[in-house]
Amino acid sequence: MTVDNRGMLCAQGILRLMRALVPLPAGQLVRVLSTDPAAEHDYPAWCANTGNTFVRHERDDQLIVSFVRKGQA
Amino acid sequence: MKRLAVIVSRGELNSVVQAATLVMAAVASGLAVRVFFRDEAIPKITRAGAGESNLSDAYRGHEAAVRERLAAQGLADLPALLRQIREAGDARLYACSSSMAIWGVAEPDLLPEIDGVRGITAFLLEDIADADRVLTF
Repeated sequence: MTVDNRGMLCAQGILRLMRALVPLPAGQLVRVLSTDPAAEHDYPAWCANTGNTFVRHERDDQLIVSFVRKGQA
Repeated sequence: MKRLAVIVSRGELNSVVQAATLVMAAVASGLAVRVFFRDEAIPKITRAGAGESNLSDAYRGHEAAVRERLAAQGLADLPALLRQIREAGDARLYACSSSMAIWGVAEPDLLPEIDGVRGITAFLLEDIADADRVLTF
């Protein structure tokens, strides 16, 4: 599954990721596309505080691709 | 669950949007947030005033471009932002009763996204006293 947060800023990207994870089962891997440089720090911090697992980032020029694994509930 | 109390006193659109996006991030991160709108922020949470797009003096000369960028990000529609905050988790949005009296604003004038009217004493003794952090805008 992919969450397309390109063009979104900070909190709205987090909110979209949170909503996308709700219906998914624990353990599901999600790919997040971002152009906001803050994503590099925001997603790991958000995962650490919400029981989800930040896996890694990949960069492709201005595009940041983040991988997040949904945690238990 | 950690608790955050937020006091919003400034009334420019950009200031209220800054507060709202921070609250959005906090709620989406699992924090319980209690927001107290007061003073200049009161008109922004009324049905009549929420659509006003006044900006801080620092933006003078750039208003049109800034408003355009806020709209492009979905940040110019304050009622929609407040709805997103409420839907995202444990957030309660209150209007200060004394500030409302100074503005001549009654409870029916408030946006439906506002949970209710609260006095400063109750907010101090209950919401702030229980909070892990307090932020002001």
